[in-house]
Amino acid sequence: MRGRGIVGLILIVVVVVAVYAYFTAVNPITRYIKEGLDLKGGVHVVLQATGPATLADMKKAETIIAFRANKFGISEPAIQLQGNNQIVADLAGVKDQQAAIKMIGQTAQLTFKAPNGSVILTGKDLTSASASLDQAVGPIVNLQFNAAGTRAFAQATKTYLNKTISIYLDKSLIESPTVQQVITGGQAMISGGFSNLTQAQQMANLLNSGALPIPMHIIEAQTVSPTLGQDSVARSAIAGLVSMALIILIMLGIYRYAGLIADIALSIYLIIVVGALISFGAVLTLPGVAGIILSAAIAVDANVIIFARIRDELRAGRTIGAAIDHGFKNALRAIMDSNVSTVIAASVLYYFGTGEVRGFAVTLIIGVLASFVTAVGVTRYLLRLSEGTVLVRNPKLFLG
Amino acid sequence: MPRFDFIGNRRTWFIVSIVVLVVAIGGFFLRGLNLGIDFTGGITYNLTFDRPVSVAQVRTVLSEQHISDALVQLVGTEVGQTSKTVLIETPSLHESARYSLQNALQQKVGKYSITGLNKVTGTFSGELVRAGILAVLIASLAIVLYMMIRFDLRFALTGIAAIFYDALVTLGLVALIHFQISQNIVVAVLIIIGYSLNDRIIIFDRIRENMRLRKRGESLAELTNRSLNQTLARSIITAVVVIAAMLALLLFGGTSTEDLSAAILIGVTFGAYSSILFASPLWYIWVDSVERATQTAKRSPAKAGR
Repeated sequence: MRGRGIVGLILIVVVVVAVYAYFTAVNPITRYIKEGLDLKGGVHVVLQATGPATLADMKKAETIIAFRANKFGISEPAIQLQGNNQIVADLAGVKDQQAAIKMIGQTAQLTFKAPNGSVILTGKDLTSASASLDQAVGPIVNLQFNAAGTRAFAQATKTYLNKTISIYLDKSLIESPTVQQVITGGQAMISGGFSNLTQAQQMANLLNSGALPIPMHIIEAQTVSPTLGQDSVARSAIAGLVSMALIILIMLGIYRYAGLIADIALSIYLIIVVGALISFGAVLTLPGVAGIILSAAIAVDANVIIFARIRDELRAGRTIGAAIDHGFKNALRAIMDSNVSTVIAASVLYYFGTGEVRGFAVTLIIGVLASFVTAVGVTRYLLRLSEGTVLVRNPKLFLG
Repeated sequence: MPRFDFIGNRRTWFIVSIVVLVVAIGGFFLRGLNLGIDFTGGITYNLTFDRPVSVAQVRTVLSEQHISDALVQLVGTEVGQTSKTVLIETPSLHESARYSLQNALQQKVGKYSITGLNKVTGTFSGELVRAGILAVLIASLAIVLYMMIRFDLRFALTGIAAIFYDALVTLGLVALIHFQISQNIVVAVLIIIGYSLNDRIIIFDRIRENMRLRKRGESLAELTNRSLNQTLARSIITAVVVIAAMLALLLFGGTSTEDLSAAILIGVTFGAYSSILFASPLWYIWVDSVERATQTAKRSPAKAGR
């Protein structure tokens, strides 16, 4: 029994160390963590509806902007309604501010106009748009109309045969082709003004996302440089490692073997938190890191509380096994109350808060849950495993 | 178990607490927070010159352009007296002033390329901060409700009062020391509130437990003192661990997170202090006065009957 416990403990330590070694040296975990605007840098844009806007309009605009941002190749755009007529778009990793703004802020209302200026059809009559490279004319955007659009376009090409139809995107004229034949298949192409395929692709994306239901203008745009500039990323990593090492050493120094157990639990805590963040696809921001720091402190505190209680019980003359059991039992209520109230507060912050605060709330909730599992569950399990050994039997070795 | 008489010395500690609070509030109103570009708005340039330049060269141009309150920093891996890469933070400038500055830098300091230009419009001042404060207030209400259910109204109200005390003192001292703060301060305040909440609950839990198993004849002051002494080792160890971790972040973390770790350091130190020497005595005074009142009430009818 005694031997098996120690083997199990060593096995766990080896696995934890291996996981850390693998995810730092072999396959850096940073590859999988999505960094937010503040950590990665990017573009922050605030759009405001030009005229009155209903909530439904704003929600639709939000969806369209998110769609466009995705099409623009931004893996984790954070698009949010703000107030009743603003949309905040945080586009992490975007370098070209102008291109990004043009892409997400355009109303993108496509209109085909007859020579007399009347509207033949609009972007609403589109089913899809795609870009391709035409041998003769270069990059083009192919349009496919829906049934109503097809009818209208057939009618128009018949009426205006050998005349020009003008194609506008918002208020700017893209091209004015001359109708050479009646088109009944509901297909058209735009060939004017693309200098390369990428531009044509962007236009197709814009048209596919649909026009914004209401015109919006940019009231604020800023390029955000990463909070941790390139050379301070390394410094922050070093600082993080030093503080982690300090915590580990202090716990070892004060609590000896129990401290070692707490350190293992803390290491597992970090694996769980980072793993959870990655699997939820959460975006890590500086407030998010702060949530992790706070929950780590809560995790350490939980172990300190437990060990202090076990010490009390030992002083009261209990046997080691009973002291561990009572220590956990007595500490649990305080830890539970602290964790539950933290989770409640964080949930409220998430519900009522904005971007910054939400990032904090999410990692805090994940962190507190993980800290409960590790600081209480894992610590207890590991102590049980080694209960029969001299490490626990000798009070000096056990708790210092 | 140590035997400090925290409650007996409560007047002294209240005076200390109030002095600290007054100093902090004074710092807040007299000196004010040293708001960085995140709050005030401005422009950050990241310029790469084609030869190393010194801070003085750039500063001369800035003062010729009548731009005060600008921050000039050399960046790069080997920062000495000069560097090719320079970070300049200026207050908001009109377009003409910006061009004039850019031209002057080109002529008097040297050719450069702009590797980063960050216009900040001081977004953080208005709506976001108000929304954040509102969220924190609602969260506090939720905490009070939870503590009323699990503890009681007295624990809940003294606990939340002490949490706000920590946040206020931290902000006040940050204003007093006057280091420049970025939007990181919001994060710092959230951490401090969270830490403070945890600390309050752990200590109040011990008082609650001892109240349930109160020995006959033990005075409230004795009981509170006993609870605080029982949790003292834990309070100190946890505070030491967190403070050591934050010191490491402060010393090794570089300038971009300096304000964050410094504020947390102050907040956590005061959190540990106020759980023991502010929140608990506050709770004691309240409960003690209630106990006295009920005792007098019990005695009075007896007197009347005599």
